[in-house]
Amino acid sequence: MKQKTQVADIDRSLYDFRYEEDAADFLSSGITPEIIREISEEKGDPEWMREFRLHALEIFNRTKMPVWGPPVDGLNMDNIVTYIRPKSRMNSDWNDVPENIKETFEKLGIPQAERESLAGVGAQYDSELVYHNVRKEVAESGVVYTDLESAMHDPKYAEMIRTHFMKLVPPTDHKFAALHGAVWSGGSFVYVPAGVRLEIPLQSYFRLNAKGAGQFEHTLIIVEDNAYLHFIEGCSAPKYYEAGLHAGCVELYVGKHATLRYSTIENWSKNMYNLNTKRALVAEGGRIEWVSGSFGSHVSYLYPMSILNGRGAHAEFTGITFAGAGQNLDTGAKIVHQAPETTSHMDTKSISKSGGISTFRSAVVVKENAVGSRSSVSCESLMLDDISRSDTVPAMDIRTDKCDVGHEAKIGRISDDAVFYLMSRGLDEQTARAMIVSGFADNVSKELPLEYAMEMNNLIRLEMTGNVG
Amino acid sequence: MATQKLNLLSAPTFSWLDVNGVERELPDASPEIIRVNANEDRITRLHITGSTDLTVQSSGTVIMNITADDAVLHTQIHAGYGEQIRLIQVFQNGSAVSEVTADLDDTAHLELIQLYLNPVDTVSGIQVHQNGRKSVFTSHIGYLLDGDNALDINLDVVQNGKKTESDTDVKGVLRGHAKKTFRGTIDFRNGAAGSVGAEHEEVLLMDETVQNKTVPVILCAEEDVAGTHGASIGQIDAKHIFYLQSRGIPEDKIYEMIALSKLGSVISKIGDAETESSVRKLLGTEEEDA
Repeated sequence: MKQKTQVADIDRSLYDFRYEEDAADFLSSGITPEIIREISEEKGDPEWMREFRLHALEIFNRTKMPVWGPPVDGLNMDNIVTYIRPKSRMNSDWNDVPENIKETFEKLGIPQAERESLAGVGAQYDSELVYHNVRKEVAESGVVYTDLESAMHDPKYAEMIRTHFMKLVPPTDHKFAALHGAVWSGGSFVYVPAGVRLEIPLQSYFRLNAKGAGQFEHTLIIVEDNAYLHFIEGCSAPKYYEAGLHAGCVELYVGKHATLRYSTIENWSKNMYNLNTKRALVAEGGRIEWVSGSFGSHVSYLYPMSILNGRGAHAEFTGITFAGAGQNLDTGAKIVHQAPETTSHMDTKSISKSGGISTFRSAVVVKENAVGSRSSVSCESLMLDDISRSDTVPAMDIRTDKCDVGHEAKIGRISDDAVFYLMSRGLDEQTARAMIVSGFADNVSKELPLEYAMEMNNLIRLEMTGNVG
Repeated sequence: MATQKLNLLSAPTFSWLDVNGVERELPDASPEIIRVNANEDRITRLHITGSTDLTVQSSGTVIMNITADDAVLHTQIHAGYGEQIRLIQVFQNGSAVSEVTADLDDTAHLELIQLYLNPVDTVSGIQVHQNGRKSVFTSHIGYLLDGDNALDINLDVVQNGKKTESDTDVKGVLRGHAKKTFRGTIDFRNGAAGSVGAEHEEVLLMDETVQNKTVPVILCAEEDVAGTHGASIGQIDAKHIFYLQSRGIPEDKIYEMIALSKLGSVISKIGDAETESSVRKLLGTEEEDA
């Protein structure tokens, strides 16, 4: 009889704590022009942004739900509260953050990470940033790391925000991009001047505490020519019975010969619909490197897109998805080659267990002018039982002959040969199986800074037991 | 004429890629009904020139030479316990909507060979249900497309039975303004323990104006299976060109040779000298091979 590996569910006790809602402002649930005007007023939007929000709402109302991907029937938009402002305004001194919010982020290890390994940190609680800080020497190098609203009101950056905001991900992109355009709140603005290389990362952490709420933060990063940035985002929420919604948006502009590494460890609670949109535009010789770990959410639609827009631009996507009981995680990436000699590589892993569904979905498009381009995709899926599901849906659209595109995918169970090999080297079966399963996630953990790789490994907490036939 | 959505992708994906299916107007003409009780010892040769409903059962080889225009072809196969059926379809010129559906019982084996020799506009769907334990499906598909011609293929292999095997090998060449879409799905259903499935497509692009879409899908609801798919799309390896040039072969001849060699590996699977010879004649390669 074949033996089965038992892999425990992710231990969520670290993330499932919550505080009674203690917000200053709760707007009514649902999405109406009145609510949008209220959000706009609350945030002191300039006129163009107020108009933008109302226009996005019109697009949202006329746009149909996607005809592919996991079902989102459990999401009732009339019940989602789109804006909650915590009692605290944004602080740059940790001591000024209200006690329960401070305790939340301390439990999640954010201040400690800031002290030990970050150049700056932002913390969003429900709809608003509550803390934002950047090291003095980083600020002195010209790097701007602030909340998007402050930047929008700062004369130095207002025009930059206006010319970049939702230009890469227009509200017409899909229904939830339109929703985001209408109700967005919070998020970060990062500007790295030309030639500045930030060797230690910046991090934003998003926490959704309120039940039945949505979080719609907007992250806008501009990395100028020859600059370097590593940006890390983390997200979590406690579990409620009501569905929650995360429809954030990330827009990244990577200048000539600049590099941006964007790492995400997503651990929303299992009642969350994570309908997030991320997109990068990469100029000549620039690099975008996505590192993505998807562990949480009830339903995810997440496919960071890289548009390689200048000669020699490069995109890399490294991701792992772990779908357990009650989860339907549809993840992957999209890459568009639209300049000569551009290159891309995707390397993804997924694990399905206890009835979880994971889908790897990708698109590689090589346009007519992308002569001399190369792309490779590798995806590997591990099924840990026969009540789960794992699908792979890659697509390639190639419009020039002068390119090389490769794709390979593999799906299966833990290899008996590999277990046998390790046992022949003296390991017992349980240890051998544990080693194989944890090694499966190596593609992501080796791309993260050590502290985050450890967090990810803790998150997976793969526990192995013996036989159950 | 009625417009229908055909070749629906087994798991729909991003709408903007336009790969979830294809629309065509289907002619109303009544099909010719053909029933073939194949015979292990002989080859059944059919020349298809119009809409046809074909049923194939029992072991044997059926070769369809298809030169139809605006035709709709339905080919239904039932391979019973232990039966071995070979279906060879050669599509030439013309335009057709073709659908092959096959059900495989225990230990049955279906071998499908399809060659598309520059058809004008062909939509080809293949649905294989491996319900039987230890049933085997192998397919070799080759295409050569030139001019403004278009080809849309959807292969859907459903592996239901235990210890089933499927293996699909696709090789093609695109020239001119040709457009091709290949969707290939390996669908491991729950209960298909011990099954394996593989699929690979190699596409040679020979002009900057071609359009190639490839969507290799694996759907998996069973733990104890092994599935792989791969695709390789692009131009001729510069090392190959250099090697052949160093042997004194002119560059234009090299491109021709390599393009035809892609199809050659599929032609050699036909296993019928008469058909292989006529295909090679059509491709103008008979002399070189002789």
